[in-house]
Amino acid sequence: MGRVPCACRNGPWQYDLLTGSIAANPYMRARVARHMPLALDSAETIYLVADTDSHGHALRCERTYRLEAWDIDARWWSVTCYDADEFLVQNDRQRYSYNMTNIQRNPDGSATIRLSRTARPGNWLPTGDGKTFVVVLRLYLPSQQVRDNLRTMELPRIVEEDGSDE
Amino acid sequence: MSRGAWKLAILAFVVLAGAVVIHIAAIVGYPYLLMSAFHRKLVERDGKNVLVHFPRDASQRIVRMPSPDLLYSGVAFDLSDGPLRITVPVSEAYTSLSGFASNSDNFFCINDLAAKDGVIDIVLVGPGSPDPGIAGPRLVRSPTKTGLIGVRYFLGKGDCLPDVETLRRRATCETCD
Repeated sequence: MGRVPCACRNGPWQYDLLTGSIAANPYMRARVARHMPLALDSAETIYLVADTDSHGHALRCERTYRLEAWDIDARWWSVTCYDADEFLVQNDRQRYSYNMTNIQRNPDGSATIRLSRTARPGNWLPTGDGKTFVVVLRLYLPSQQVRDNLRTMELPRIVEEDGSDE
Repeated sequence: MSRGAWKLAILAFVVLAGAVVIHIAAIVGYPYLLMSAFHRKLVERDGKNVLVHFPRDASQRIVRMPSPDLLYSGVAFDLSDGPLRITVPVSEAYTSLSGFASNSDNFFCINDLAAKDGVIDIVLVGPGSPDPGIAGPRLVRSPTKTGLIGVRYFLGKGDCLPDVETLRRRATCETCD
């Protein structure tokens, strides 16, 4: 069963506004139950899932990526890293996610999160010892403008940086 | 077509039809199986209609894609014995109370913006059950007799964890008389 309950894509982010919905078809419901159980309806939360970078290449644990984020008009948002089995990446630093209140900001208010196997200064999420990983951007109570423009608005980029992280 | 070829064609059709039926049954049945497993585990461990406060456990490998920015509580509800009244005190950051049917559909979600006097207060009734007529709480009708209730508290920077822990332990889940 494919990981992502995806009807829409914007850059690396895949999402389906029928996640959790009573209107979902059986395939959608089964995918959500398998990969994101107890997900809330999109009226409350939108889940955007990336298993590739912004160029469409699979997110690989031995590579280093830069996730370029900025505030999205929502009650709150978070970025979380999961291993290929969709559980939190185990690590000694107990780093699993950033949200809009605890992320370190750049002077212009944007934020940069490094995704890599080994520690980086600033915002950093470990990607673990596996082969691939997944990133989920959660938007809780996004504004109507975000909902209406989700397919075309600019969403955080995930860019591979030079050099592997082996 | 020879008789043998017909038999082969019919056999192939029966096998294919059977595979399709099994496939559809598996797809439709999977969410029910998963929810039933969650429900059973919670009931075995803590009982039905009991509010359970889950610790933050990043090492758990039961529920996929949990959010480490949330503190979760839950109820394995069974409305066979009547409606449940559930009250959840809300935090300033974000709190929600949600319900999931036995097929995993999220059939309701109420967040702190709709709370009255700092509390989300509902009466949960089963399909076809009458309104118990309790003044005050919001009536929520579950499409299935059993399911799961989820409570989510946003932790923000994390320094509010002790306060949220104290807050959520004031939440209640009781069978209505």
